[in-house]
Amino acid sequence: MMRASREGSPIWAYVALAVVAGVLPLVVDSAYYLSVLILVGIYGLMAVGLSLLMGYAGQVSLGHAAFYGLGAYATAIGTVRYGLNPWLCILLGMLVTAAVAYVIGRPTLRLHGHYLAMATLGIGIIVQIFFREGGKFTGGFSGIAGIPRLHIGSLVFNTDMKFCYVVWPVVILGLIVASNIVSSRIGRALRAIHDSEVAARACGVDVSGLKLSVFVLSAVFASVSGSLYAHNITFISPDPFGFAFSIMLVVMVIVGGSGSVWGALSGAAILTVLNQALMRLGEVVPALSGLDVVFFGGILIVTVVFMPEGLAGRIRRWRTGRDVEEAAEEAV
Amino acid sequence: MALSEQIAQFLATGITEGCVYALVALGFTIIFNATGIVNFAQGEFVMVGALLAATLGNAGLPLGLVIVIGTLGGVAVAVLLERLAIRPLRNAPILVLIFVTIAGSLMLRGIANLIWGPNAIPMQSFSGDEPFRVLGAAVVPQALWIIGMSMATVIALVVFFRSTLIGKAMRAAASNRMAARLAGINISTMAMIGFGLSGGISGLAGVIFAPSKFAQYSMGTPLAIKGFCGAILGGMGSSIGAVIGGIILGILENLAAGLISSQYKDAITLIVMVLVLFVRPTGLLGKDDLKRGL
Amino acid sequence: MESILETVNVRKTFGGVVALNGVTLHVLPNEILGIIGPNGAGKTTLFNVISRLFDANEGDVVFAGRSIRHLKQHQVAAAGIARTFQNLQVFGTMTVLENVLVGCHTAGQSGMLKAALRLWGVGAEEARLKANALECLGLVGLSNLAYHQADNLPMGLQRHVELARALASEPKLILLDEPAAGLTTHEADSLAETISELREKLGLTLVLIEHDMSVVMGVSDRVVVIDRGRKISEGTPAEVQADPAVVEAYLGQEAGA
Repeated sequence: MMRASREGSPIWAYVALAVVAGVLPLVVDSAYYLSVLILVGIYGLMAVGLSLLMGYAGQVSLGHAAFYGLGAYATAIGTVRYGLNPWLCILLGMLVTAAVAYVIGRPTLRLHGHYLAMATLGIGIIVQIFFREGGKFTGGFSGIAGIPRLHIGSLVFNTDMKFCYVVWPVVILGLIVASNIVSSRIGRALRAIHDSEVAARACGVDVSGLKLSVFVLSAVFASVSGSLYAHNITFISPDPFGFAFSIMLVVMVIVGGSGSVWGALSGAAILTVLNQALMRLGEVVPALSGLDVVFFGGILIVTVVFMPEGLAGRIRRWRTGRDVEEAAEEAV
Repeated sequence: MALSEQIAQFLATGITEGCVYALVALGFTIIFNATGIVNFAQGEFVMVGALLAATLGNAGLPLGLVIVIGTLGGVAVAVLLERLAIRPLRNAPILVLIFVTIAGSLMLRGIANLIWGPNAIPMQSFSGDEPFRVLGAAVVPQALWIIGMSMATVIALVVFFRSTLIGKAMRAAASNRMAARLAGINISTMAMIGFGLSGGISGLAGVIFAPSKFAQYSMGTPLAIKGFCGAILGGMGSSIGAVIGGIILGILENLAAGLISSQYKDAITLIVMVLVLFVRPTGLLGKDDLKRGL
Repeated sequence: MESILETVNVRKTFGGVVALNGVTLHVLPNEILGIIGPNGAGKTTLFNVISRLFDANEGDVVFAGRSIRHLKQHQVAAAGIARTFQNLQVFGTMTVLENVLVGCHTAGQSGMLKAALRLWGVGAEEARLKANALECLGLVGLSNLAYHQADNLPMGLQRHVELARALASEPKLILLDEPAAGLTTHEADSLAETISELREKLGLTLVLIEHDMSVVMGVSDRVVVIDRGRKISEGTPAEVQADPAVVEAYLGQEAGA
């Protein structure tokens, strides 16, 4: 896996991203690409949160789709069944998800390695079953429809183009938060946990407490993503919130480089674009409709074998390698 | 139906389904003992056996041949996975290897979908569907096949591990790799044999299970999860524990589904596993070495 | 003089094995106490009980007048005790400086919220921690290796990193678990010098487990000998070396008997 980066990101990176995210929706014409742009943002936000957990604290989670789903269902139920303000529901979703993550996080994070992996996997599926069998409350198999659009005053975000301007500011905010944490004393403590829990404790790091905090934080990121997803698509069903999605999230983080928040975002971007393209292909050529799953598996294997540090790690290696070469040249 | 008859029915179905979980759990455990990996592709070994059996059985091949080919299909897929994806990465951290098995699982599923399509393929029972009564429960002949062949497999494995040279070598390699290497045991070959054995057991499970549950490209993942729950319940690393865990899980599942609610049937297994992990990760019979495989 | 650290009749069993069988010892402020004993005697277990990795089955551990028996592991550093590890536990993927900065963790207050929002004061705190960390590196002679990745260093230097990291929390007491293991004679001597200097300069108390007799006898004010979970001797290095019980523990039989 990738050695976690220690620096915060330069301001120009955020500005550049903001500019791109601000301009793209205006110039892109096709509905397809706009929807992909939104999905990249939604998945990217989740991936960034997950990278804090995986790349920094070194804890694996194969059940993060559950938190994604909790955010989606919380806002759906809140707005559709109780008529609450959508923004308020997103906030409520964050609180509910944080509470759930806190409660299951405590016993779960005491586990390590594959025990931790399986516990998160199991919990993720249990939550999805709850969505599926929740009767009237969650809408069962058919889910919940008629989720209201987000709006600020009279501006209603009812097209994908407009919705980009909801999603991407949130993504950038998430990046800033994650990056700040990474380059702080807390980020250091997280990396210490990753390397040696016992030594971290001896240095005064509250390992269990910190793992739990990161777990909850990553869950909250996922919850926000889920809520945004719900308000974009306006209907949700239990299907997307399962094991397959949790795995896809993990693949995004690994491919992008688990030790870098920008890496996680890139991984999300690449895989979302590819996945959507393959799904499109499967619609056009039915014989190839299962290809995206094969492809995901293949990408994961290739990444793990040839590029275990992910894209970001490989780029960083190339950059520092190049710096070493330059220094060597100058010394000659 | 009287309550006692109902319970007898749930028990009968539970034991039958439990046998399949037991075989999958056993497959997990063999690989875990041989390599320290949790093999997420375990269910896909079952799927291969089931799909091959259904296709060939429906094409009219004799039962014996179908069983053999299904089992060998599982072996082939498992060995391929080990040679192509696991062995090149044998020094990678365990978590990486787990992801590799996840990837393998995804690919196998996808390929199966491409070859066999998304629909379930039914298969004829081995010897008819006329149920007969045992202590108030209706038992179909296929159930007896399942239970009988599962038990035969388990016994064969016990004999293999206790009495044959290769079996003992595998146990040695599982117990202490360095010492086994020094004794001349080829660890890498043991890993391959472990995968092959595990694949064979799972392939066989797929064959005997196919008439009851239908063969489908997506059947692997839920089976793997349940099998894994069984292995955790019985204790990671213990073969006997895996078998016992699988059967207990099958019984628990059916009892809970029948007496409490069938909606949450799948959740029961998972809840049991999560509780076991929280309270006593080493399960019923597992070794105390919690760090195993880390 | 009142002890800074006391173990009172500490007993620790693992299943059927008795690792510590009622160990009572005391450490005086500003002294260097050596703990020696044959392999498997329970020395590291004692350190692990003191630093709260394990709960003692019986007995108490008193530090600066307070029982620390119920502290959580991560509260020990704040209480004033730091330690190094026998089986090297540096943060391998982090730089030497970062290793020591983690050692300063208890000196910082900014939690996740403050960090996430980059609130006022975070920058100043970081500067303070960095200054402290660089000072600790200077004390062990690692200043010019501050930006090297820790697991690229040879073992001897990694032990120095652990020492600097232990110093970073400004402890009153440091537990050193076999700090000279794997060092050359030259390195071990230099380490012994560093330990003495630290005691002088910083007014520290140090307890070290060591097998290297020249180091432990040379640097310790007093020595405690542990064998099979029991304290069998205690005194100055000279006294302990002459004690027949100690000779027997190491050699199995009194020489000449």
